[in-house]
Amino acid sequence: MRIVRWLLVAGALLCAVGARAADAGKVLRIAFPVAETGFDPVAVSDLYSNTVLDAVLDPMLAYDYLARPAKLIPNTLESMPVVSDNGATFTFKVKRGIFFAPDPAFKGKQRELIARDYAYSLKRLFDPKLKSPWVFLLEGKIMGLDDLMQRARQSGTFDYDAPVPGIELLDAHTLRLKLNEPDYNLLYIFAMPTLGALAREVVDAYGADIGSHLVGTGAYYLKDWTRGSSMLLEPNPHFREEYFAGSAGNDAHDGTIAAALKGQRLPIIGRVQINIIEENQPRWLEFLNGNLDLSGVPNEYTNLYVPGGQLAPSLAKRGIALQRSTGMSVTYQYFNMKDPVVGGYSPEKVALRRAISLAYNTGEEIIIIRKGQAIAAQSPIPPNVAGYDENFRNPLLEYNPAKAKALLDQYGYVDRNGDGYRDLPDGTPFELEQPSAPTSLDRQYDELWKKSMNAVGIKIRFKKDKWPELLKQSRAGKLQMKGSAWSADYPDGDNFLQLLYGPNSGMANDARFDLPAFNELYRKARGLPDSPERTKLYQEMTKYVAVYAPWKLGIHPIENVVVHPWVRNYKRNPNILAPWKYLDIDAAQRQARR
Amino acid sequence: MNRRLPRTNDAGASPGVWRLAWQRLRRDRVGMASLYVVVAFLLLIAASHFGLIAADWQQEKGVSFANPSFLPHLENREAQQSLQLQTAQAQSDPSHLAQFRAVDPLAATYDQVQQRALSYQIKEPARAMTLPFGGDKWGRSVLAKMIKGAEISIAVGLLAALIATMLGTLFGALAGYLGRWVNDLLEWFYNVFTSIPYLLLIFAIIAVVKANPALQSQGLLTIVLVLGLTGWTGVYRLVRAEYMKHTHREYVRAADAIGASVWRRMFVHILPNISHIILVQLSLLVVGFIKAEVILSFLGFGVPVDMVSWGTMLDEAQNELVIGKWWQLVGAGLLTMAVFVTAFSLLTDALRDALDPKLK
Amino acid sequence: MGAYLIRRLWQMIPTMLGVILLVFFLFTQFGGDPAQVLAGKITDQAQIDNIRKELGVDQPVYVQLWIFVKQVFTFDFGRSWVTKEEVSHIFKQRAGPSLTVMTPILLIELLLGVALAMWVAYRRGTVSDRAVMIICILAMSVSFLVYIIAGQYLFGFVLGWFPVQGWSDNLWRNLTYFAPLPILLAVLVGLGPTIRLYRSVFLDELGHDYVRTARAKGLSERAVMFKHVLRNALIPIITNLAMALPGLVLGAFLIEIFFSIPGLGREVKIAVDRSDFPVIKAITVYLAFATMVFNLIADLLYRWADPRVELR
Repeated sequence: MRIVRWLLVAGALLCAVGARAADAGKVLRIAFPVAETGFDPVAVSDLYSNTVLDAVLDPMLAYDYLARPAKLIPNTLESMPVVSDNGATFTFKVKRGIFFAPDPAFKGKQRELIARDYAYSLKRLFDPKLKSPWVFLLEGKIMGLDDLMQRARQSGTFDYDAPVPGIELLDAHTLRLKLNEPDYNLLYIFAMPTLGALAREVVDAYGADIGSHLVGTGAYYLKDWTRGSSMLLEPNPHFREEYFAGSAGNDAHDGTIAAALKGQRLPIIGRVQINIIEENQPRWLEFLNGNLDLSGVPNEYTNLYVPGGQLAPSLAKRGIALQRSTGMSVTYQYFNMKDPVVGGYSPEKVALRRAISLAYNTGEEIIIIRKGQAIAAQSPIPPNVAGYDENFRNPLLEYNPAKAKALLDQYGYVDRNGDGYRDLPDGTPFELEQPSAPTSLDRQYDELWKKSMNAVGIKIRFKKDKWPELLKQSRAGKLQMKGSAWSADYPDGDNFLQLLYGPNSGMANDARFDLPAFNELYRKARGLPDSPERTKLYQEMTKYVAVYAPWKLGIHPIENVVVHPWVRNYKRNPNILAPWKYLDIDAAQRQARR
Repeated sequence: MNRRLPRTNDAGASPGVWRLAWQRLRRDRVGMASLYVVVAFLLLIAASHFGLIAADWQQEKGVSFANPSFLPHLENREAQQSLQLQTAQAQSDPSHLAQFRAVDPLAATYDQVQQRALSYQIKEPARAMTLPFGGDKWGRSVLAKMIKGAEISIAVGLLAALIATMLGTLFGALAGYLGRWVNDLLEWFYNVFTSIPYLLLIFAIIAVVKANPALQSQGLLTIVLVLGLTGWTGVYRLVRAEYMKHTHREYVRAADAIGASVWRRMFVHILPNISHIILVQLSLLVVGFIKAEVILSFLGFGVPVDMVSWGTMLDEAQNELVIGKWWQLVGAGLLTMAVFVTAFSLLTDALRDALDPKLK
Repeated sequence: MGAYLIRRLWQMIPTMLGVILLVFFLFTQFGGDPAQVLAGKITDQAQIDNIRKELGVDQPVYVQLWIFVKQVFTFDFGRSWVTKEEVSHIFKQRAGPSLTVMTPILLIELLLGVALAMWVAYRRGTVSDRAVMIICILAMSVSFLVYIIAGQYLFGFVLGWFPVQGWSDNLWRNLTYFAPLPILLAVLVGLGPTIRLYRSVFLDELGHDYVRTARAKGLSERAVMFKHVLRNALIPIITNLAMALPGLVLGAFLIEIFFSIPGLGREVKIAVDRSDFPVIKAITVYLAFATMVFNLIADLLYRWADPRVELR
């Protein structure tokens, strides 16, 4: 009883302190270029909705703000989870005294975060009714959870109270997960906002409307929301007393941030105002006007404002800072390995794919379409991801139309019917079919493909269709080839190489690439933690990708973020979607400079 | 018998009217000036269509965003970057294949391919730093694109307007002349069509055309059909009203009396008498469709990739203004499209005044 | 009057059914498959089947059509496939901003258009008539897209007279601060055609006998214009207005996109990009309905403007 009263007093104190910690006069103004879709964590898969979720919900783990390479730290846990059984059992101890933001569903009571909430969020992911696009993250991994999903598909309702062997609640604050087999990447998944804690009574109270009643334990809560237009976040009045606990980073800039944040109660900023501005021109002009505090630089404008990767003097003079980083994603053009024209493993098919790869001018894609804001990919694994090797160079990925022609000649792809285009070795004419969506950006890629293929005498036509339709055909294996991209769900190379693993054909493996040598290496690598040994295996696998060319590897995009001088403590961390709780604003400076 | 029929007595149309209209038009100085401009454009696009000019518009003759010849000294970072890339790619040495030999199914032919490649050393022609009216991002001449774009845009406008006018005339004639259930049915169809907002209708029809692979490969036809199939309602309305008026006139009854068929009465007897109204509608539609093509391009439903239109040029230009590359916006949006559309609209006005003197 | 209203409303039913059929078949037969987009990055057939079941797109066509008809008449289109927002809520929330921008555009265009058109019609054939008409045509010849891109850059940024973009939830601030630039640009674009249209209406009226009679009676030209011509020209002006209204609800979607105004036009564009069929279908059907209602209102207004018009 006394404990309860003490807790209440502590809670009240917390509220009072919480209100003081963040300064309501400090407002961060940012813009999203694409409208959010909603806020049910297991249902939304777009970047911008997840960014807001990241500020409002608390997953069990978080990424260290300044540490590079990426490092996980406890978020709502007392300490990092205990791993036993060689990586097949994980025990999580949730910190006491963490409370949800107020909501009518709690009937006026303060609601403490307990381990059951995380178990609930985990189970929601597998509820067929919610059709979560994230199921693949944990599919087949947690003991018994897939069976529960199967039963729910048959019966029509998902039984949240049914026991799951892999999910155990040892006490109110301890959760133990048991896996079917060891998995070294599991913890990354528990740092995604998708698995942030939700209170079951809130979800039950709002039903299908849960996407618009976001209640979490995070630093902010969603105060106002005009769909597709604006979002206003304010500090969660019940937010725990949290102080910056990250490492000091690697360079002087990091050091300044770490010093400023040391002992600092979070969050600092009292309001985050997000507006949706879809067109580049107005969004960029609003940043220049000082109405947005930080913004990405649209690629089209980088030659003027970030020439040669340096901030333009006109912006630097105003104290604006540039943060440039390579995104954790890769683009690729896949060839359907089952396609009668470009698919197959025989030398002449390999030669055709390699010739197409040699003929496509990735350099021009980077310079002209992407305005220099990308680096050519050497392997499927992007920088800042475990398994990336910056010294690895892949000579098969060059642009060399002369060699492409030589390769085509060598393997019998010559023009036999005199129409000016090459034919197959058996003399039948062929035409590549590149799918493309009806957008201005796709048009630019079409132009580049057209002229690249014309230059080596390969005929190409474009299949214009709406994006969902193309996706459908791609999944059904009906496309000959297609440009695609993959962004890291977590910073580990496995997330990328699984895209070429044979048994994943038709799911993540668009190309339906199924090479026994590659598959074996992949299985071997999955049994290893991140290590030089594994990186070596990854390089071997990359060689197979290069010579068999199921993919023409594209680029890793470079992201340019510009920040006004009155924004403090900003450091781009590719794993943290919403770093807002660490930021500070000098409101006086902002007022004076605008 | 037939020949002695006063075919044109009532509405006073046909040869006499056209001659009179032409005389009136010739007195209209603005009208004649516009006519000259329109004819000049038509000659231009004919020349471009038959490959006399701008045939090489797809060739990348200049550097990326080449400056216009009259402003040779503007800073051009895009050009510098693309030139650097060319140098870098020319220098790349394709030799370190040794590490792949063990796993490469093509390893046996490495040397042969290398040998053949030497005979193909492609030398890129030097690129010009300036072009007459500047270059686009690939280094193609904006002037050539303006001409080629005019050809495509005007062709789209004219063809779509022809389809829309023919549909509208046919439906209008049927409804107005036959009346009864035909009229009811077409009126219903008209009501359904016009009650759906234009933009949504466009989206819907695009979905239909795109789903049909036979139409997809036709390229330009897609956009022409989208515009043509949505634009007939205005013509229908006017033509229907005219037919209702004319049906009961004497000359039509006379034709009926001598046993002319329904089709003959509709399209041989009545149609010439209202052709001036249709002509004016046609010209109005041309202008409307040329402008609609721009909006469609903005929405990503433009002409195929190996063609260029004013719409695709303006769509590209929207991001170029901020970085100071204004020539495509000015060239497509003002110098060609605005001039042509203005001249065509003025000509339409003059034509209307000349054909329907009552309005004056 | 009452009987007339009932008859007209009755006539709307077949049109409405036609719209429903057209919309339904266009989207079910030719639209993309939403399950693919909703399924996310990695997925298998079982999951896609599950989503198709949830959305009801695995039902036979006639069942889907019946569901659609029910939705139309119960005003319940369910939820957006992508955002899970109720479609009726989308209407409620997005209509306001569209109207806030579009009503001033309509009114300014009407007043300026009628005034200028009367003036040029009055001075028909003179140099000023010619000049205004040529300016109108010139203004019409430049694409709306060019106006917006250049106008936003020039007035919003370089000169800084207006905000570049934005919207608030305060009506007054929207009207006085955020809306003026979009309104200005839209009026610039819309005025040309409006003046031309109204000018021809006035010229048409000036050719009528009653004008000659009025002049013969010795009325001043001014009195003829304002007392007789304007009154008679009201009918076509009202028609034009009524026809324009539902289109305005959809808004100049380009304006809404470039100025970040959360209106219906922008919503439709986003929905089309996302293949969010419930939203597109609902907006199409209800705007079609609105068009019919406005046409009816226009007919009723005829009678008010000119009692000689018989309602048949």
